[in-house]
Amino acid sequence: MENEAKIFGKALAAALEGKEEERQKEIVRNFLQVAVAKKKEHLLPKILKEMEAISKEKEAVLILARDMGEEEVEAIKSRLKPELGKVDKFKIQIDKSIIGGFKAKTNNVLIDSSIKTLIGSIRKKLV
Amino acid sequence: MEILDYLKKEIENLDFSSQKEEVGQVIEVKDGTAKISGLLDVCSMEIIKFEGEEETLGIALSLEESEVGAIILGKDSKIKQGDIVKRTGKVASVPVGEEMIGRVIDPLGRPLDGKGKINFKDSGLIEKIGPSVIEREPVDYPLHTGIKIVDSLIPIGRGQRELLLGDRISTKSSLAIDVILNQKNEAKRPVCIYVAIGQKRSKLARTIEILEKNGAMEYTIVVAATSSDPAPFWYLAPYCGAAQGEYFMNAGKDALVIYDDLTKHAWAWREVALILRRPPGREAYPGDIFYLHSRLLERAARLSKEKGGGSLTALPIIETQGGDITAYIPTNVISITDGQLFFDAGLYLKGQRPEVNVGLSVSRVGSAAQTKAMKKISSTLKLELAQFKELEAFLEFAEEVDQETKEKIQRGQRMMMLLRQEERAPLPFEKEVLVIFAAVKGWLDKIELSQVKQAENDIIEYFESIKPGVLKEIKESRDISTELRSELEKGLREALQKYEVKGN
Repeated sequence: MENEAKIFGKALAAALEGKEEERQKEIVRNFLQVAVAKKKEHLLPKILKEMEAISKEKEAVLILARDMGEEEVEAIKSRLKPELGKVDKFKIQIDKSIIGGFKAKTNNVLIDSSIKTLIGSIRKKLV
Repeated sequence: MEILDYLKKEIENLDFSSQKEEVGQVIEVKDGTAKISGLLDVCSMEIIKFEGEEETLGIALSLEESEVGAIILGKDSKIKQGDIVKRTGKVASVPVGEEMIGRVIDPLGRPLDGKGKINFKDSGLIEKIGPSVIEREPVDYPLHTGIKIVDSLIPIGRGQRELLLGDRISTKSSLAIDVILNQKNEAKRPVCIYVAIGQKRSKLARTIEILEKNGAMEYTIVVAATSSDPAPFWYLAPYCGAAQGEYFMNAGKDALVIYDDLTKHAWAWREVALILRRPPGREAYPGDIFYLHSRLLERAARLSKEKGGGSLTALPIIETQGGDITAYIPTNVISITDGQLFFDAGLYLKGQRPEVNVGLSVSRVGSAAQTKAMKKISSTLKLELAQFKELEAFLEFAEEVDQETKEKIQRGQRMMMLLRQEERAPLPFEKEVLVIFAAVKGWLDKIELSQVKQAENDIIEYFESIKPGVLKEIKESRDISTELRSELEKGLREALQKYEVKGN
């Protein structure tokens, strides 16, 4: 059942959260043993997918026009975190086409502060 | 200088702050629909924007646990996997109002007739639940179709839903167009809306030409989703037509909407639902196929006085296969509507036009809306036609019948002949009353069957040229008083003089 895989995935994600790497490995081993004992091996691919989806929820993509200094990026990140909810990991991409500013995107939200969009909105006003 | 100032002001007013927007990403696109991840808070039927190469609109239909299924209103070839989709917060609506009259529009309200932009002031929801019970009133005003057999035997009232169903060869659409043409000189003329679903563009062009030639586009809106448009447009078209009609109904006016045809609408919804992976049911239609049509036709209503007393009459068309009215979609729609006109392919081949099968056609509310004049004559007509139908079956066996039976058969045959009507020749109400009066009072009994049509024309011509007052009085009083009756009989005697007949 799909729901079963979802519950396993959520449980595993919750158990792993905030643990050290050694401990995490141990938890995964235990988890596999439990899964085998309960004859749920066939669900493993689905559980993996569920785990991926959960980790994706916590990840945001931060698109910058150029490589900025560590400090500046940190400042943007700390400002964005309360807006984006659960997010605790940022993946930084460089995209020159946005000209300046930044774009932050999660699965559900887009914060757009790029010069490209700004120019686009001016264009819409004028045309 | 002025332009510069204007630009400066516009730019100064621009919002430079960054926007937080709710978005999603396209996972897959197939045949006019898209699967989207994200868009967690989107509403059902909300308009969404695909920001691809070109901005395309869509409507969110299936809200699932982690995905959203949407229909694409435009070219799906411009949308790529991974494109960003934004919410608009608006529920799907179309422009409505007086400005739409005389125009040909697509299901999103965009003009298709090349007559320029429509400057609309109002908009109406595409999906809306029909008026509630207390907002309604019984149907009590006739919608004259101009078709003798319909107005006399299966009358339609304003606010009624009357289904037209029949095989592919039958003249359903043609009759519906005639109904629009007949509204031209009606008292309290309703605004007509013709919704073409999945028709060939050539056929649609012909229909529009007929409407234009007869001056009917002055009070008609055409909503078109042609066969080259994708299924989502077919699916939306009737709802757009209903929204157009609702505007006039809510403004206290009358409107008539024709859905041509709902069989194709059901196909389109089946296509969309199957691609969106909704579970298929009988004949692969999705589970909500009944609701698809019931919620559409429930929007037709006669509003109460407090609500302005407007009405929306709906004439849906359904195509049957081999005259089978017990198939899935026909029975669904028959049970939703307030009656049906069944077009019999057998009668068509026998030359009866319009080939309405009186036995299988009913109108559940319309007779309450018939004018007194028509009521007085149609009850006799109904009875005598029923007797004739009964006797007609015996006619083949018995050569020799008694005089009384013979007379009944003769009168029945003449009545059937009289009820024949050419296409594009709707008859005003007062003329219908005139010729049916002549038939039920026996004025046509002695006329050769082949001359009945000629006699009909003679009667109309006579009254038009010599006694226009009689026609006017029928039209205005909507009744046949005793004086009018003797006046009619006198006129008929003179009109039919050359046939050497006497009435009884």
